[in-house]
Amino acid sequence: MAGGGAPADGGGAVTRVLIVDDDELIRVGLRAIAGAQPDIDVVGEAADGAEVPPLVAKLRPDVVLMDVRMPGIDGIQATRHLLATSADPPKVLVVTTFENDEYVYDALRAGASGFLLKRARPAEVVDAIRVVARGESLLFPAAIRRLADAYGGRGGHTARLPGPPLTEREAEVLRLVAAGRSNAEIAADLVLGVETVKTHVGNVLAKLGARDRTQAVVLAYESGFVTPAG
Amino acid sequence: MARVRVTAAIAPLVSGTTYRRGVHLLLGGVILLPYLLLGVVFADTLAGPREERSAALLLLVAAAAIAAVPAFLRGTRALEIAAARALLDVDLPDPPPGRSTVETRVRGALWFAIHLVTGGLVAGGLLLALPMALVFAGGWLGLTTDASEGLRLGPLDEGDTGWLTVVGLALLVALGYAVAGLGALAALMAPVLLGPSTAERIAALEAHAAGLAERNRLARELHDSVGHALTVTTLQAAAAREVLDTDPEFARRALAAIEETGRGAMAELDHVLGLLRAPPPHDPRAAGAAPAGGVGGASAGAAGAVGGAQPPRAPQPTLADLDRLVADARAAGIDVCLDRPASVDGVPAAVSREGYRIAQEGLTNAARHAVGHPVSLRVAVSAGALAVELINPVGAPASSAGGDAARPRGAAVPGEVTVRGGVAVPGGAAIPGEVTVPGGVAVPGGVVVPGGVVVPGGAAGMGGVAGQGGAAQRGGAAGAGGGAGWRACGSGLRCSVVR
Repeated sequence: MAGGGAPADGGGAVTRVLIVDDDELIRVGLRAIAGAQPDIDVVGEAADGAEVPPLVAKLRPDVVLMDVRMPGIDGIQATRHLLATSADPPKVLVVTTFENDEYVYDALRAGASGFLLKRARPAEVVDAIRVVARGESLLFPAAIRRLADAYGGRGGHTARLPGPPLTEREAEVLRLVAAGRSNAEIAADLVLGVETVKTHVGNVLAKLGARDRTQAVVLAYESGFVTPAG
Repeated sequence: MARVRVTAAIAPLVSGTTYRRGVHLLLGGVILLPYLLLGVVFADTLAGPREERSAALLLLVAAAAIAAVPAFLRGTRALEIAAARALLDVDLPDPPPGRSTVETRVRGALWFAIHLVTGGLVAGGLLLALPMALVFAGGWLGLTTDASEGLRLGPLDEGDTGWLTVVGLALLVALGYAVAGLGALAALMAPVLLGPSTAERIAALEAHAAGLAERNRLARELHDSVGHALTVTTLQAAAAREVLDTDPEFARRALAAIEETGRGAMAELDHVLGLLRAPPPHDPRAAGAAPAGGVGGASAGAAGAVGGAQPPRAPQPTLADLDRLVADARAAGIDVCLDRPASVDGVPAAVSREGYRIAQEGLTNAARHAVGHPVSLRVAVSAGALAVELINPVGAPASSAGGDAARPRGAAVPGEVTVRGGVAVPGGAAIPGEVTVPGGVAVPGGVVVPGGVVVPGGAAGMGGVAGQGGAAQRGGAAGAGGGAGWRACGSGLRCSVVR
């Protein structure tokens, strides 16, 4: 669980990846980059969101690299459908061409676990896949904070999160989660053990009634608990 | 303090603005001259023998009518606008092309009349004040003339040369102030009487907004397409570097893809930047090349495309996606016969997107207004031009196409409605007989429907007439394309892809 993102921790566990993009050149490129890693196995490709559910059922990927703009079923709809209908859905890592893509926030609301720019360096691409596969961190472009501001950041710190009130420590952890920090990073920031952080995160999710970190972050932004400034 | 006040007081007399405005006013006086002469002649005639009066009266009426014409002319207004801009320092826009409204003409005529009258007054004042001042000053300096002999001006007579000089100078100064005042008033009034009317201003703003919207759309599409291309090249390069040692064949293919993508993106940049640099459609300089109907089409299409608050999430489809579009239409129950070239790769991306939109709009309209009738969709690419033609028989009377109301209900009129759009390629040959708009949709002399689709020869549903045109066009196309399948489409049969 070291923050470095090296494949060492999994002890040989391979992350199965499905690539969804309407452009073949993008699929081929992502496949070459991800497939070159010993701990990542690209198990399939799809050119349209409509192909995703059957492929997911058949191939059982751990992570879906999902393009947003596709003819037919776009990445947002596909993500929403996937996470709503699968019993054990894969993590969705949305890949976008533009950092300021107005649909990034939609993807977050749909339940995507992270974001990746297609122009990211190969090391960032594989790191993102690993981090999302571990299910512990969100990868944000800076733009998401501005978008979140437009949606729900007006409330400042007069937060009214749903559910029972968070302890001061839990609130701190939620802010760091919303900032895209991993458990290990939060542990380092707060001088806590990683297991303690995991416990705090679990408590936060339970109190908010959130399915996962993504939902918790959406709530944090929309309630105004977290603002772009802090 | 007192000095400042004096300076401010004489400022109008020494300001260049006053003299330029004075020239403007005097111009009015000059134009008034022939009117005055005419008036004098008629006054003489009417004062003359009784038997000549009725003829003179008739002549007077005719002359007055003719004399009034210049005041209402567009050209006169344009001249007045130019004069006001140059001499009154007023910022006025060029009059828009096309016919002026009655209101605009009346305002222009009012300005013309006021200009002439004030000009006449100023000229008269000048003709009075200047000689008097000169004569008085001459008398004071001893340059005696006969002009002031026997003069009585209130308490003054010809002997009081000093006082008369003062009076003459005072007249000139008063004239200067009058000119400054009238000139300022003219500058204030010019925008009211010579400026664009509210309707013209709204039309200009709308045209401007439509032009901007069109440019915005092009810019956004450019950003999307070139951004995508750059992303592809970046990703392919990254992947190639990653596997260079283990899979050199992949690296080779990636390099080829990068080259192709880069080349395509460059071509797209060239093309769209060319469109963006072209003068906007409403620009008077472009008006000669693009008649109003065509411009309206492009603008309306742009407005329609931009009207939605959110850009489409899917990538903008091009003619390469035509098969999918036709498949969708067929799935929706439209019997579509598609005739298209084997490859549309040579069509610039922006033009290709435009062509796709035309086909899409046409099929949508066919689905709406000609349910159950076969539709022929023909896409032709020739040197520098793209033609998109959509023909379908006029729908059942129940359909709501615009022209249907003109036909008696229940009478099925044999005929076809043709929707045809061409897209001009800058630098290339436009489709013969069709109007081209930079970056826009060509309109073959027809009615423009928002969305860039056009119906030649009149409103949609005018059945026979448009159908005739469509049939004629179709015959020509069959010859050019050499596709028997195209001709067969007309009889409504199976859909086939020619070539």
